[in-house]
Amino acid sequence: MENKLYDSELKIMEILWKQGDTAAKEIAAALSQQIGWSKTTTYTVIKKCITKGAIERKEPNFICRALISKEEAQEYETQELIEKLYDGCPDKLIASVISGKAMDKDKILRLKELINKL
Amino acid sequence: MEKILLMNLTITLVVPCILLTRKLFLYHVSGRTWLFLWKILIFGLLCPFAFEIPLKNTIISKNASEFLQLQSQIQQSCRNIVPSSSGNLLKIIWLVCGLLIAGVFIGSHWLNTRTYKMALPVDGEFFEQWKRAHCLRRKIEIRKSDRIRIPLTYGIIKPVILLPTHKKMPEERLEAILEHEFIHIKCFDILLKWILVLLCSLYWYNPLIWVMYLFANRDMELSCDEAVLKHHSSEYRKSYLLTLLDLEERNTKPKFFCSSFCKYPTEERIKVMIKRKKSTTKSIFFALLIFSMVIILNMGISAGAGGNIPGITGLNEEQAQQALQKYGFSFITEKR
Repeated sequence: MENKLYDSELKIMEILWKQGDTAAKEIAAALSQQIGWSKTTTYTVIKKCITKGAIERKEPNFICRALISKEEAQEYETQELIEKLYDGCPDKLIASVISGKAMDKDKILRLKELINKL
Repeated sequence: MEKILLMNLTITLVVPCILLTRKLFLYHVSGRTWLFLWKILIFGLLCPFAFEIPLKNTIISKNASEFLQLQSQIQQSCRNIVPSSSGNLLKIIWLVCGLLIAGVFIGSHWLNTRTYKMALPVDGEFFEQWKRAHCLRRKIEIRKSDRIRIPLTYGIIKPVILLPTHKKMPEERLEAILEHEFIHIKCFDILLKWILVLLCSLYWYNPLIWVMYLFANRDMELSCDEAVLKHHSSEYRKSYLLTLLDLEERNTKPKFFCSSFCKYPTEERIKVMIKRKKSTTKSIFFALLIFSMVIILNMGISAGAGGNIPGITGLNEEQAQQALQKYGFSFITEKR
């Protein structure tokens, strides 16, 4: 497995580490109850885990099997987390506290000085 | 065709009007006022498509022949601008580009929403208390995600506030962020963003629509900041501004070249909140003056575009009068 697992993916893994091999359907039902994920979201995350090599899919009935242990997953935690943040495509249909072009560090420092003088 | 020209005329006249006043009075007049002016324009642009304003019982011309002449002049000018043979091609280009633009906005939102939905619920008494103190008819969810850098809100009917998990924030800063997002939700700002995208897809060929898009979004943020800081002390204001800068630092991405024409939105917001002076009588007067001009320009043009004026070219004066009277127009015929 190459990349660190995101929290969403770890949520799926936790179920498999706890219960062993589980059908995707059961995982979806459990997470829908626990954290309100839709079936589509759960299946999307399971597929991401499969792509990362953390889960193996067994047929019939889409049974999920963990390919890594909890300890192995923790080894992949790194400080490069921020760099691996999902940047995705810019989304203009959301509201955010800040938006638009990011400021450079000098400007940020100058504005901090201005604010501290208030 | 006349409707489209009139709508573009509205955009061309009203946008610079608002921008000029904004440039002069940015530190003197509230962000809410600027946003309200943009909303008037948006409403006016949506008018001909949403509903038509019937001009009932209006005296529009002293005699019908003058009116006939005016109408045929308008129609002739439209034909000169767009010969009928190229009309269909232009319509296709307009439609394809509009759909592409809408597709880019909506497509990128849809892709990102799939990631947002993978967020996990937050826990803690702080969030429960905050939700109890901020009730709306729509249920607000707060979730956390390790896939985003800065907090955001999505969803109109079921709004969700997403917080990034990477850096623990003190409760004071968290409260300021949640307050900000709450104002966006309360004021249906996301719905307004969708409407702006719709207008950009319809009027994409007019560069001023993109200017409107940019500044309407900025003023949404200014208005939101004001609402958050309204009933709080200057210490809270300081803390709020530092929170914004803290988030800006986290948002640092690789630099791209940028002309001096484009200002950083966050920088503008912070400067406005630091420099904003109390509105003086003079500034309120000028703002109201511009406000009235915007309404009159907007409604006048929209009414002209949306009015239920039937086509009467080719009819004689008597027939034209009868046709128009059916729609509630009345005429004063000149005594010759």
